[in-house]
Amino acid sequence: MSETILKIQDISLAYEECPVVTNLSLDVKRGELLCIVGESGSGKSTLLRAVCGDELVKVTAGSIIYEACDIVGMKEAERQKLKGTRIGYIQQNPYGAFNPLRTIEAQFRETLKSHGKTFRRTDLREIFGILELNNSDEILKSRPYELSGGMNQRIAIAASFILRPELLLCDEITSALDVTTAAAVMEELFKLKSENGTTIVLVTHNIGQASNIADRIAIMYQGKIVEFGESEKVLMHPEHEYTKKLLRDVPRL
Amino acid sequence: MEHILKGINLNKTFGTKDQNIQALKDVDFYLDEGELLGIAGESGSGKSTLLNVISGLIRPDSGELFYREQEYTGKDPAHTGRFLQMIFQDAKSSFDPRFTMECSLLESRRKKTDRDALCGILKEVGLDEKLLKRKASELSGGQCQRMSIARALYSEADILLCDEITSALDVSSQAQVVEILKKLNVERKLSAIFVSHDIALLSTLCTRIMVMKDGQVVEQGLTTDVIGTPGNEYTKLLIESARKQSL
Repeated sequence: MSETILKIQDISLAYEECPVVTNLSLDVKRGELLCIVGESGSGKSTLLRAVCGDELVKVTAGSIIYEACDIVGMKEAERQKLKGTRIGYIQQNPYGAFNPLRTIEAQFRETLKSHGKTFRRTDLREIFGILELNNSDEILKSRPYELSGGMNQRIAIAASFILRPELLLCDEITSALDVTTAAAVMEELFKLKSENGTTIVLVTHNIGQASNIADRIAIMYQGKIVEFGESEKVLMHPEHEYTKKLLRDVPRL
Repeated sequence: MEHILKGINLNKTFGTKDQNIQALKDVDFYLDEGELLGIAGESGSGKSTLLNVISGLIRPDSGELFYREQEYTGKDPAHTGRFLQMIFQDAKSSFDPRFTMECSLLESRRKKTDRDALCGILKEVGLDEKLLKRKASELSGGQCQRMSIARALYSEADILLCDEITSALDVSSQAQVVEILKKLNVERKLSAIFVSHDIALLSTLCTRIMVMKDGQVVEQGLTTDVIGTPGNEYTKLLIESARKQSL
């Protein structure tokens, strides 16, 4: 096993004719927590979507190598095998991941079945416990619309984690949550990374949030990575003007 | 000193057949002229209900509201709009999607149209006049939020009620909006109530902070005191959470 789990090389991405990301390269090391930080429209989410193989994102140049396989040229059926069990993806909208009208239990059963795994209450209880979702029986009987945004988001994280992916992509997963819940979710994410060795790529616009958990930070601006390095170096000795601006803009206590 | 806005003993309960939720329990507040008051609290603490009650969008079950010592309890937004304006989290949906910004902004003023004043205000919030020709869907989130601030100013209200107005924006756009509000506070003596779950953000903007939980005010005081020496357990949790999300 090589040390690099994901290697993005000279990639250019576009929505129809509109280019979003140009000539970007990035490598993700096994077991690290990498944060991609940038403002709205900088191309952060597009990059994650390309790794997931979203059909709306067109790869116009370059390659995405996951464990020595190029995802870009892969057939849909092969890619489906990677999704979920190898590469997990959690999106910003906590209600978006589930069918609003079906119970959480039915949705967990379906997710596990479609990946050839069996539903065990004990496994689930363990993951729910880590995410501070107590009384799991009550939650399993509920439907997404009956639960708060913070709860749904933690359940979405649980749904990704129960498949034990090697690589977890998180797209602004706390921006719909209030600060107290956001802080709790971040802590759990960090715990899951250090206990299970999962590689995590976290996209956020808040460099303050990144500063507390990231091993490395990549700063994205207008479709390019303008600064990339160990988080301490990026935070303490920012070189790019945009990074300095981002650091200034975070409200401090 | 005379308070520009005051509320005494406000109560509001939302109910269904099976359960009642008391969104406001005996809430008192005041706002002085030229003051920026912050209200912090988690989702469901009653912050937004309080703003809706103050603006007349929701009628309180009991309690009294005063604007410059004049009672206005029970008056609807058509009346309260003369002196206070709400700014919402989702700026885009607060504009008619079919109207250009120009139509929306000009409509907000009761007095005669004053184009010079409008252009001056747009400059103050850092927007180009050309954007007036656009519709809400053709503006970015930050631009749209600045438009809604401009709209409130153009209507000549004294007080802005801001409900999580930066939580849909990225940090850079958020910083820009906060700077604008600070400037307006200094230059125009603007008074505002600023509701947010992010106590770090409030601490950079407001002179006084009120912390709400489960419909009650659990702590209030000068920003430096509340942040420096919080007395309430919940306030401590809010500050600690905010620190974890900050640098």
